[in-house]
Amino acid sequence: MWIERVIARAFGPLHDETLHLGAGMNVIGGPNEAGKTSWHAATRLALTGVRRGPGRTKEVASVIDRHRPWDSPEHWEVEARLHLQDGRTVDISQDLAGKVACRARDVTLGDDLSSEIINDGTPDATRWLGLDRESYSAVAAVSQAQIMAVAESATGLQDEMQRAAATRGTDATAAEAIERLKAFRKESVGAVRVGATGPMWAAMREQEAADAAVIGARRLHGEYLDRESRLEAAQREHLATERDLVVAEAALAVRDATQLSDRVQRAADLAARYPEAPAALATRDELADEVAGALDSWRRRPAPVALNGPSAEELQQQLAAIPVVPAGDRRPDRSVIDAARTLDLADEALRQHLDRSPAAASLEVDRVPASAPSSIPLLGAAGLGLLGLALVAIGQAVAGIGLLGVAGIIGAVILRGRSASQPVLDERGAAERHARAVSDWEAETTGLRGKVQEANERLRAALIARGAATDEDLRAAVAAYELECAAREDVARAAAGADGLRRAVEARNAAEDAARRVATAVSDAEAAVRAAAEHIGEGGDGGTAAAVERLLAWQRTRAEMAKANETGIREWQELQGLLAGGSLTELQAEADRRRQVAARLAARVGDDAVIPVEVDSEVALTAAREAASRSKAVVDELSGELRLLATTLASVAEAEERVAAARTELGRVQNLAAVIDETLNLLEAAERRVHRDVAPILTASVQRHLPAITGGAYVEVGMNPRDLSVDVKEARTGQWRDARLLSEGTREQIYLLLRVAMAEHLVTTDESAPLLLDEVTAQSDPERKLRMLDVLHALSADRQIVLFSHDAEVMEWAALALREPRDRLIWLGVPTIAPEVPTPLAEAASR
Amino acid sequence: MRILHFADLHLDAPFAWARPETARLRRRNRRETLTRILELADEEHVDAILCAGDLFEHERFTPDTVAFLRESFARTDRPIYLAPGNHDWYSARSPYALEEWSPNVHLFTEARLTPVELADGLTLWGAAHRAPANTGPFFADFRADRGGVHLAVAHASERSALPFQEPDKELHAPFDAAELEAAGIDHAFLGHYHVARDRDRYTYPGNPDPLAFGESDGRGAVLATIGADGSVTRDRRVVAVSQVHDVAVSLDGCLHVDDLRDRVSQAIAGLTGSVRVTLGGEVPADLAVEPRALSALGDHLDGLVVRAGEIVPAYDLEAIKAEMTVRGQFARDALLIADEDRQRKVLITGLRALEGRRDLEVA
Repeated sequence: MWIERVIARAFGPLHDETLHLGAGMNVIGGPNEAGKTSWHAATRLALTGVRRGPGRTKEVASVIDRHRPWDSPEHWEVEARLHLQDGRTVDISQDLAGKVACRARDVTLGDDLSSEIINDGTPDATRWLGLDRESYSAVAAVSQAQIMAVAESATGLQDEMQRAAATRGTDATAAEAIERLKAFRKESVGAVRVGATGPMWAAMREQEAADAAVIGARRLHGEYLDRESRLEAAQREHLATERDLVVAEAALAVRDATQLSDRVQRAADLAARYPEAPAALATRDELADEVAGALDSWRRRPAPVALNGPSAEELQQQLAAIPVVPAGDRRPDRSVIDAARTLDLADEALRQHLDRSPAAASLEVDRVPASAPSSIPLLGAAGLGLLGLALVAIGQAVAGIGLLGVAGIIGAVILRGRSASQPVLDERGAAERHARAVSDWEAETTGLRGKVQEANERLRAALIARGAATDEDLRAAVAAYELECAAREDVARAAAGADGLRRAVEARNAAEDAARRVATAVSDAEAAVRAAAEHIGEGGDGGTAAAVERLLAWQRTRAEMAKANETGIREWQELQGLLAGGSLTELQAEADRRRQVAARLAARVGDDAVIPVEVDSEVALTAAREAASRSKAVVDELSGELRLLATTLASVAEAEERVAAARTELGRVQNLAAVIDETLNLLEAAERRVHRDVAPILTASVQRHLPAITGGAYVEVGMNPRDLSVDVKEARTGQWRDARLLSEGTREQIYLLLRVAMAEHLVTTDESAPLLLDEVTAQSDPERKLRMLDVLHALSADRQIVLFSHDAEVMEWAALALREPRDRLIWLGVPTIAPEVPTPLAEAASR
Repeated sequence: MRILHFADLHLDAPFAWARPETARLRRRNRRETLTRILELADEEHVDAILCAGDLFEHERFTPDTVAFLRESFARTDRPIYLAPGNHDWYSARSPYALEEWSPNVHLFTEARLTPVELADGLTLWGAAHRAPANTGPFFADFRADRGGVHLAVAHASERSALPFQEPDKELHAPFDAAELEAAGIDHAFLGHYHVARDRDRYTYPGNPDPLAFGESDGRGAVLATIGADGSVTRDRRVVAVSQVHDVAVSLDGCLHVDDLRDRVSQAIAGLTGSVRVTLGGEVPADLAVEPRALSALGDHLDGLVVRAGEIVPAYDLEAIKAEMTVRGQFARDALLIADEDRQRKVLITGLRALEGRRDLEVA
C-alpha cells in the first residue's frame, strides 16, 4: 500500500490543501509552524480515521484535540488516495467530526469498500495491512516523541519491542499484562493459607462456617423433633394419667353418691321411727343401786369355812403339858470327850508298856514261837477305824472319834508287839542289852505315868468346867456326866414340840376368826338381798336364792328398758348427724346432685372404661392426682424446653441459603482463580512463543542494515527471545554489547530498524505498511543522520516512507538523493535556498 | 362435589439465590399463598380441600410454620385431606404425627391407598410417603374394592410426564396413567410435578407459589367439580403471592456503564416482586459488565438477581487471531479451550490484561 495523496479538507490550519506523495521515499520539510505535524496527523488519520464512540486512546484524543479545524471544528475532514498491492486505487474519506461521511471507494469501479475495512464504525485502511488504527499508529507511525523516548531511556528500545510484539504497540506488553494479572489474582483471589486475608481464603472460611452452621441447624432441628416426640409421648402419658384421675374421681363420686343414697335411706328410716327426739331415761337410782349393791354383795359373799382337827383350846391345853428344857449339856462336851480319850490312851500306853517289862520280854521271847504274827487283829483295828470314820461322816462325831481312838490304840499295840517280838538272840550281849532295856523301860514307865497323871488332871478340869461332879474316879464321873447329858437330851426332846403346838394354836385361832367373819358377811349379804327384795316389792317367800333371782329379773327388766332408751337416743343423734343441720329433703337433693356428678364423671371416662368400685377411692384418687401432677410437670418441663429451643432454633433454610451463598462466592473466586491462572499460562506461553518467533525475524531484518547504519561499528545483532533485549557485536573488539548501553544515536538507529522490521512482521497481508516518520533524525549527528537516511531510502524500495523533518541537512540530502517520481521532496511554506557550499549530507546524497 | 386441589407448596424451602431478607420474604409469601388457597376454598364453598404432598419441608420446617399450619387449618371448617409427599413424609417424628390437628384435618398415613368416604358413593383414596425416598408405586397393584366413584390424592409421578418437568425431577411413587383406570380410580389429584398438567384421569396443579425463576404458567390451585359419573371439570386459579419475573436485557449499543445501568433500570421499572435479569448482547470490548454491581438497582423490588448471559465483548477476534503478536497468539490459544464459558472468560481476561485494564473479572 502506498498513499498517492492526502487532501486536508479541513484539518487544523489546513483547508483544502493537498499533499502529493510518491511510492518511495517522501521527505516533507518546512520550518516550524509550516504544518508538518498537521500533515503527519492528517496523513495518518486519512488512513485510519477515528473510531465512532468512546474508547479512543489518549494519543488519538490528543490528536483530535490538537488538529480540529481552527475555524470550523464541526467540519473536520481529510481524504487520501491509496494504491493497494492488488492494483486497486482507493479514495478514502474521513469525516473526523461526525464520523458519518466516511467511506472508502474503489476509484476505478466506484465500489464502496468501506465494509472491507470498517473498524469501530469507520473505515480504517490499515485493516488492509492486517493492522488497525491503533496498531498502525504504534508500529508504522513513528513520532519524534517515540524516538526521543528510545533515546532517553535505556530500556525504551526493549519496551517498545515488547509492546509491539505483544499488542502491536497499542497497549501493554505481555509482561505488564502478566504482572497485572498476577496483581489482580493476589487482590481478587489471594493466598490459601492460615492467616490469609484474601477473598479465596475468606470464601473458604465462610463456606466452612456455613457448612458448620447448617450442620448445627440440622442437628438442632433433629433435636427439636426428638424433643417434640418426647413431649408428645409425655402428653400421651399425661392424658392417660388425667384419664386415670377422672376415673378415680368418678369412682369416688360414685362411692360418695352411693354412700349418700344410703345415708338418705337411713335418715328416712330413722326419721320415720323418730318423728321427735326420744326422752332420756334415768339409768341409775337408789333402788337400782341398792339392788345392784345387794346382788354385788351376794355375788361377792365368801364361801363357808369348814374347821377340822382340835380346837384352839384343845391345842392350848396340849401346849401347857410340855416340860421345861433343863440347863446343862445335852451332849458330852468335846473337851470332856477328848480329855477322857487322852486319858484312855495314856493308860493304855502305860499298860502296854508295863506289859513289855524287860523280864517279861525275855520270857516272852523264849515263849513266843518264831512265827509270823497274825494279821487278823490288825484288820480288826482297821475295821474299827473305818467304822469310826463312817460315824464321823454321818455326823456321829463323838462315837466316830471314839472308835477311831480305839482302833488307833489297838493298831499301835499290834504293831509294837510285832516289832517287839523280833527276837534278838545275841547270847553275849544279852545281859547288857537287858540291863539297858530295863533302864529304858523304867524311864519310859515314869514318863508314861506322868502322862496318865497329866491326862487325869486334864479330864478333871474338863468335867469341872462342864459342871460335872468329880470324885476320884474320873472315869465314873465321865460316865455320870454322859448319863446326865443323855437325860437332859431326852427332856429337851420332849420340850421341842411346844413351838409347833404354839403355831398350831395361832393358826387355829386365825381360822376360827375367819370362819366367824365369813359367817358374818354371808349373813349381811342375805340381809341386803332380802331388804332389796322387800324394797322392790318382791319380798315374797323363799330363801335368799329366790330373792336373788327376783332381784336379777328386776335388774334385767331395767336394763332392757335403758337399752331401748339409749338406742333411741343414739339413733336420734345419728339422724341429726345424717341431716347435718338440714332437712331430709335437702339431703335427698344433695344425694341426687352427687349421683349426677358421678354420672358426668363416668361419662367423661367413656363407655369402655371400667370404674373400680372396690379400691380405696381416696387412696386411688390421691395416687391418680400425684401421677397426673407428675406427668403434668414432665409435660410442662418438656414444653418449656421445647419453647426455649424453638426460640433459639436456627432456620435450616437460612443456614442452607448461607451455604449456597458461600458456595456461590467460593465458586466465583475459584472460577476466577482458574480463569486467571489459565489466562496467565496462555499469556506466558504466547509471550514465549511470539518472542521466540519474532526474535530471529527482527534480528535478520536489522542485521541487513546494521553495518551500514552504524558505519561498520557494529556488525551483528542478537535478540533474546525471552525479553526481546538486543545485543550488538562491536566490529572493532568482537565483543557483544547490550544495546541499552549504546549511544542514544545508535539506539535510535537500531530502534528505527526494529520498527521497520516489526512493521514488516506485524503486517499480515501482502501489503506493505507506509511508514510515517516524524523528525526521527533529530538526535543524530550528521554522519549518523546520513547513514539513517540512506538506510531509509534503501528501505523505501519496498514500502512508502514519509519523513517529516525540519532539518535543513535532511532537506539538502533529500534534494540530492531523492528521485521523482517515486521519491518526493515536498517543501511546506517557503523553500529553503540551497547553500552554496554543499553540506556533507548533500555531498553524500550527490554521490 | 367441589374440591380444591393443591400441592407442592414447599413451606420453608430455601432460596439459594436470594439475600437473607429476600428469602425470608419469599417464605412468608408461601404462607400467604396457603392463606389464599384456604380463602378461595371458602369463597368457592368447596366440599373438600386436597393437598397432594410437599406441604412443607420436613428437614427445614420451623415450629412457627407448624403453628401457622395448625391455626390456618383450624380456621376453616372445611375438611382437609393431606397426603404427605417425599418432602413432608409421614413418620413418628413428623409434625403430622406430633401435632394435634383440628378435627377437620384428615391425614393419610399409610404407604398404601386407604379410603375415606367423601359422600355417599364417592370414595377418596389417599396414601402417604413414609420416607424421603424409595416410596413404591401406589396404583400398580391397587383395585378399588367397592362401587361408586373413586378419587385419589397422592404424591406420585406419572412416568410419561417426567420429561416435561424440571430437569432435576426424580420419580417418586411412579405410575403409568393406564394404572389408574385398571385400579378403578376415576381421577387422581396428584402432587410432585411442579409443571401443571391436566389429563383425563389425573391432575397436577403445579407449585402454587413460584419456587424458582423462569417457571411455566398455569401453576396454582385447581377447583375440581366431580360429576356423578366420576367426570372431572377443572378450573385453574392463580393463588401465588410471590411475583417472579425473568427478564432478558440486551446490552447491544451500550457504550458505557451508564448506558448499561439505564438499560437494566428500564427493564425492571414497573415490576414488583423478585426479578432475575439476564444480560446479553454485544458490548464494547472496553465496557466492564459487572452483574453484581447492577443488583443494587433493584431496591424497589423484593429481590433482584442480575446474571451474565451471552455477553459478547466487541473484540474483532478474527483480526486479533491474525496478529503475529502475543495477543494474537494468546487469542488463538484461548479459542482452543473447549469449555465455551471458560474460553470466553479467559479470552476476555487476557485481552483486557493486555489492554492494561483493571476490570479483569469477567462475568
